[in-house]
Amino acid sequence: MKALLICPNERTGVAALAECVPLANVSILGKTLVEYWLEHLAGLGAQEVVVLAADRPDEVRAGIGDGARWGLRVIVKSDKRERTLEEARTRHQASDHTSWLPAPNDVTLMDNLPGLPQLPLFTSYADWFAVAQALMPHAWTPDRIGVRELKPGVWVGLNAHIATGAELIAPCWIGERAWIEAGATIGPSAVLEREVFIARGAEVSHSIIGPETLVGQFTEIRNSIAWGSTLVNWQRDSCLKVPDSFLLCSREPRRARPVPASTPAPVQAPVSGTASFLEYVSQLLT
Amino acid sequence: MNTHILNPYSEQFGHFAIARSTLERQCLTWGVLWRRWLLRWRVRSDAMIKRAGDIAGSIAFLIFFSPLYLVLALLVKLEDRGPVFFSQTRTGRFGKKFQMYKFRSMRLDAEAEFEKLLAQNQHADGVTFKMKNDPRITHVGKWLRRFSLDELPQFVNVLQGNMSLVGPRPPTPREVMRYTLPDRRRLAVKPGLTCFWQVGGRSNIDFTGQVKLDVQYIESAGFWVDIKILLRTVRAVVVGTGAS
Amino acid sequence: MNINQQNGTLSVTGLRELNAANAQAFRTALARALSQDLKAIEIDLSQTQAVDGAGLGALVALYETAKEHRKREGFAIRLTNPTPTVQQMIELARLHHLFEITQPGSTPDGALPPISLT
Repeated sequence: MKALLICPNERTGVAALAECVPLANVSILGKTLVEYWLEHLAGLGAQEVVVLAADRPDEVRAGIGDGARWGLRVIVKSDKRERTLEEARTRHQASDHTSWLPAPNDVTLMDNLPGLPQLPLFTSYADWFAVAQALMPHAWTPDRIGVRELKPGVWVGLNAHIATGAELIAPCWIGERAWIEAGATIGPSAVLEREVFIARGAEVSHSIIGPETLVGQFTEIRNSIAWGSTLVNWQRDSCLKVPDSFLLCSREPRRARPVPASTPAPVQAPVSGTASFLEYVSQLLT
Repeated sequence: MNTHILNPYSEQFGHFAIARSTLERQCLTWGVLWRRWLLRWRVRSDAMIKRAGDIAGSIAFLIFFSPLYLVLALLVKLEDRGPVFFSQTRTGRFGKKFQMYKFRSMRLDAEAEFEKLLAQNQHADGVTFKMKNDPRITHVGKWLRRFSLDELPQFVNVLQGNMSLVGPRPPTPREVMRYTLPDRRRLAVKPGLTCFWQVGGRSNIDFTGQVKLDVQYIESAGFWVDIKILLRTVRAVVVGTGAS
Repeated sequence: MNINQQNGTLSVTGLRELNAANAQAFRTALARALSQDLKAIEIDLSQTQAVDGAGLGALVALYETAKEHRKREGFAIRLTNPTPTVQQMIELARLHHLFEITQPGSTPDGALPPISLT
């Protein structure tokens, strides 16, 4: 049985975060959005899933692989723009005669998590945070490995290192392989994604720290979403790219978002001839 | 709550989130580079060390025991002149399929008999298949299995990277099709030659028990855990328990 | 950058940015402008577009230099009308505990009243 997932392309409400990572690949409590949906579809009985990605399909593909993890066959197709449900249905279902999942599960636009249709993810940063908040008590599902509840409301992932001097205040969620140094306070309503590093004395509360983010010593992150060096205050809707890496940065060097198609087409390699070779070189240099 | 926050800024401590001078700022930035390197190492080192250990261990074993391999190959060939090796599709890490190699221990018409024997499955929950006194096994094969010698060619799989020395046993795609989502946790690591439940009571535990022990392994995985399991495996194989 | 002193209040206006480029100049200018009878220092950040670690460091250096002044009753260093991004930088580095941040109308969330160190 077949199903289709449409990746969200441009959402002005969360533009700063959409620049860091394709929206289908955002980590929400340890799993990416598209992973939640693939699990959901596998549970409904799908065997083949087509994912339409207009934004950075390579990254989406790299995150999912071929879908064997869920027992599915997943094909990530790049698209020029985000299709509506009806457009996707007519384009993909009409010509395809294999059986599809019954509506409405056959075509889904991933704007929310599977269990939470009433909470949109990408309308604003505050909504994003609200979804993470709502999911926290229910995120420890039987298919997760290594999650343990240190005390009521404090969930810690696999191989996370929490120094003895660190303070964890419920409710909070700490991702896999996170490292929290002594003196740090992971306050109420904090979500730390995988491989986050919290330095000494830092305070994180009512915030989400994205994957692989380093939070510097003695900083305070409150009412914010920190993704690499992008700091967004969801309460006031202000975005900042922190210039100093010792305050907030990503563990990996930032990959620049690929330039959209409105810029000049890439250089085509010539077929033969010295003259065309020289032309090719001069094209590269301009 | 407020007073202790100000300690970083007090004159005596000099611990600043933000640096007062260019030199301090440079030192903090270098500190970040160092921290990045440490964290990258911490995340990747476990996998790298395991892979290095796998390669070293499998090369050493293959070289050291190559005479044994030759002898066993001869024995299998001499019994019924069929192929020496038997390759089966198994499911590896994250559901990726690969070919697993064993010494052939079943008669040449084994697959045809399989369906008839499904009814006599010893494993109650129907996902895995095991039977006592399986009539399809050759005489040499029975003896090979008693001492787990039919599994020896899997060291080549370890070298290839599809398997590891220690890990859950690789399931067949047929079994994996019937996995529920929590069962799929087993597929989060590379399958191995040996494992917790194999060393304990080989193949005698039913499926849910196997999954539980596999997840326990994944959660506690580390270099020393693997070494302990390897040592226990050597002892169990030599003693020849539970392999029937 | 203009520095005026009026009625015991040192006010700094016209700061386009406060980062590595002018942090040193800012610091020396203010150190020179500090006089004995100051009651408050006010730094207008309404036009400051960019602040980075160097700029924040300059502010903390100012805080330290005004140590003697701080001992006086009612002395405060005020940062007025910071833009939202600058406000975020200030809160990230916890400077909102050291300085008074004033906005027209609303009080910034999470800001705690400054505590005077003796």
